[in-house]
Amino acid sequence: MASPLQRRLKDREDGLALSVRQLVRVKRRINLLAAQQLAFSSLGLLIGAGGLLVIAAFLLSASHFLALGVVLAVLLVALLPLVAIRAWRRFAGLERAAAIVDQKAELNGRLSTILALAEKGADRPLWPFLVEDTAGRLDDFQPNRIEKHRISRSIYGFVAACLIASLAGLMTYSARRNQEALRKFLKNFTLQVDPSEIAPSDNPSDGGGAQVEADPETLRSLADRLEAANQNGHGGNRTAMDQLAHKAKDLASNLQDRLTGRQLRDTPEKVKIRLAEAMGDRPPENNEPGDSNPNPAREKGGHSSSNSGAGKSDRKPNSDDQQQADSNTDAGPADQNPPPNSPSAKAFNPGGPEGPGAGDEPVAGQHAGSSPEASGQTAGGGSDPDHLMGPPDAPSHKNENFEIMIDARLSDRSPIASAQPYVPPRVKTALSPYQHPDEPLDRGTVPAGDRETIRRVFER
Amino acid sequence: MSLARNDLPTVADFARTFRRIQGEVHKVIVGHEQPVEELLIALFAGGHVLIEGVPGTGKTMLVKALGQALNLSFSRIQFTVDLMPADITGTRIIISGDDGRREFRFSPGPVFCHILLADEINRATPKTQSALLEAMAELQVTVSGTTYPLQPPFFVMATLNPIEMEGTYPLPEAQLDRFFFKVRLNYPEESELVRIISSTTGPELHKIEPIFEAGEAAGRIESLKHLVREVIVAPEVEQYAARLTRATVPEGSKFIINKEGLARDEAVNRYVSFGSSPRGGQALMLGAKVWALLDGRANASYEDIDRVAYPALGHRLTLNYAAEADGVDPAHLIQKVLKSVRDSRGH
Repeated sequence: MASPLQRRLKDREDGLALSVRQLVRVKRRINLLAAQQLAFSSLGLLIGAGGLLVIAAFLLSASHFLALGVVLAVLLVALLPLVAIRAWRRFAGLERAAAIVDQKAELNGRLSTILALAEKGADRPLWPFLVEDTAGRLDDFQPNRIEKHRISRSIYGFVAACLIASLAGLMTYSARRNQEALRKFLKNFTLQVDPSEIAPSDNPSDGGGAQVEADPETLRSLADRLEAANQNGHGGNRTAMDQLAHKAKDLASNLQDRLTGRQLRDTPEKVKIRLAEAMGDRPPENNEPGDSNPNPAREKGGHSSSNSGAGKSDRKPNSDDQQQADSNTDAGPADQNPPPNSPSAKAFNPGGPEGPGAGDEPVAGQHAGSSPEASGQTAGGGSDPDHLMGPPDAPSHKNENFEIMIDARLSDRSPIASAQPYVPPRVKTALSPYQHPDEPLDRGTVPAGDRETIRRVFER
Repeated sequence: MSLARNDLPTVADFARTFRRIQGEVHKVIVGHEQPVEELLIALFAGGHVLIEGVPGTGKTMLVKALGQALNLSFSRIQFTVDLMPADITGTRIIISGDDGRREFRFSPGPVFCHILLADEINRATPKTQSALLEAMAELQVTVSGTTYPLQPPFFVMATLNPIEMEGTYPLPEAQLDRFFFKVRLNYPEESELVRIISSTTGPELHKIEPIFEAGEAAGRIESLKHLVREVIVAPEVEQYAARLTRATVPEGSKFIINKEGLARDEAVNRYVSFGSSPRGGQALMLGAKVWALLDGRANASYEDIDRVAYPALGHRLTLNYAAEADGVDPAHLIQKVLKSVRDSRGH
């Protein structure tokens, strides 16, 4: 919008009109640059922060990702207004533009004086000299001399932010492609896993990503361990702050999974895991934290699985049918159509409301089985000297299986090459009070019928 | 005195004349470029100058050279303790006429000239010093109830000897304030001293050529002084000069009603008893206008005001004992004031 002075000088061609017109052009350029700075800086900040967040989701652990997210959010909240104010301050009216021109073109206040006294300065004896003197310096304050650039230098920051965002996009695209490949791969893939390598997952959302097959004793042992881990996770004196931090971490983890496409819940195919042999990992009898945790190294993971529904698993299924029904109801959409080769005698999904708990232990009658293989596995599970003979009512549900939440992270040998491999932490574990280090056990009399079984166990 | 628009010299005339006078003075004055420049600025701004310097630095020579270059009448008064006001202004004396009758007639003192050198003004008593006040401020002298106007241009250059302070009378603030600028003459540098020695001990002494003809000098200088007052100043620049002047006044001054725009700098509040009077603002503005003309401009700028800030305001600050104890000088305080006002201006 033209000022009264501009309107008055519109049709004139004297020195004053020329100077003011040139000044208006300079003002336009200054304001254009200010607008560019506002746009580029704000967008650059937002895009850059978003890109960094996505890249961080790929590279950082959940806690680091959470910390970075918080830092980025704080920085954005602090910087965006600053950037906006700084750009806003660059916008100039005619007076400010004149001051800028005076400074940059070394006009020593000529333009500012002309502008300030344009209405009433005409009757001063030196006014014509001032006007003509200023008009004679039009070349000194050409718009391209006052502001050399047509594009604000803040575009560099914007471009850098776009590069970061592009990198993040590439990583996301690659991850999505790998996810597709994984889906195809998982259709016909069964993983042989030693149950002792299984630990409760950090993330309850991973629960729907695997389907486990094993003999009932192994599954029960795993369920007990999960329960113990969950109880250890819950059992401490967790403050409200801990719970808040825990929730935040879960949130960050979920966001991370969504950003990276690692959300296995969205994967229709489950990893079929066959527990090759049952171990004699007994659940700890004493569940106090730090007392007899069978695997303290996994305890950390047990904390995270506290939201996995384990707390809600006090229901005691009374029949296979009931459990089957629970499984089908709660396993999520991916579980509605179990793979054809998935045994369905008994399904158990710790990620759902029927998570591992004391009530999930099968009743004795259901464990009665006659398969020698099953009984052997059961006996093998008792590597503890107190149970060398195995429980008298060892279950023999050979075909029993359930889905269990496992910490099945993507490794660099997996089809998703870009994913971060999971390396379990090394933890020194105290010996079980029932074990004696480096001392041979006294040989007892073993019934002849069990010798073969025992020999097989120890050979393993 | 007002001049028609066509009688005004041009901006280029002013700058050229100024530089010529400067050149003539520097024929005999070696070095001291800045003091000479400030002296001429004060002359064309219509003010008077207080020159401070140790003996032998060319104070008297400077004034003499200026008088010769301008081709104006020149008087010199050596101020001493027993100097009386009448020795400056003149007095009525009894004159015997041809017819034998005696009558009182006014005999003009040395103040009736264009350029007056008041040498070592601080050696005279305050009463004698104040005899100059009326002449300096109002360009007139009153003796025995009769007022005698002085002929413009009237330019007083008083010198102050900072050593041998015993038996001297420091100038009262009111009289200090009437000096437009205070100029300091420092010891010459080695190279300058070599030139001084060689030029003053040789067989030929430099002779100053007058810039103006004898009859027209006063008129020409007055027209140039008039041109200075025609320099255009934007309202923002005037406001800057006012803010600068006001920023020298400490917040605790009991002569302040509205404290808006007072000193923001802690040093001013701590070391200054009394800040600059409005005469300081006038000196800033007139000095800036002369600078603008010298730069070939018809408008005064912020930079012009900054240039004359120290000679215009330095002697108008009355410092307290804390400043004396801490060795703080006015130049330091003016730098601080300039910075604080510039910051508030947003530069």
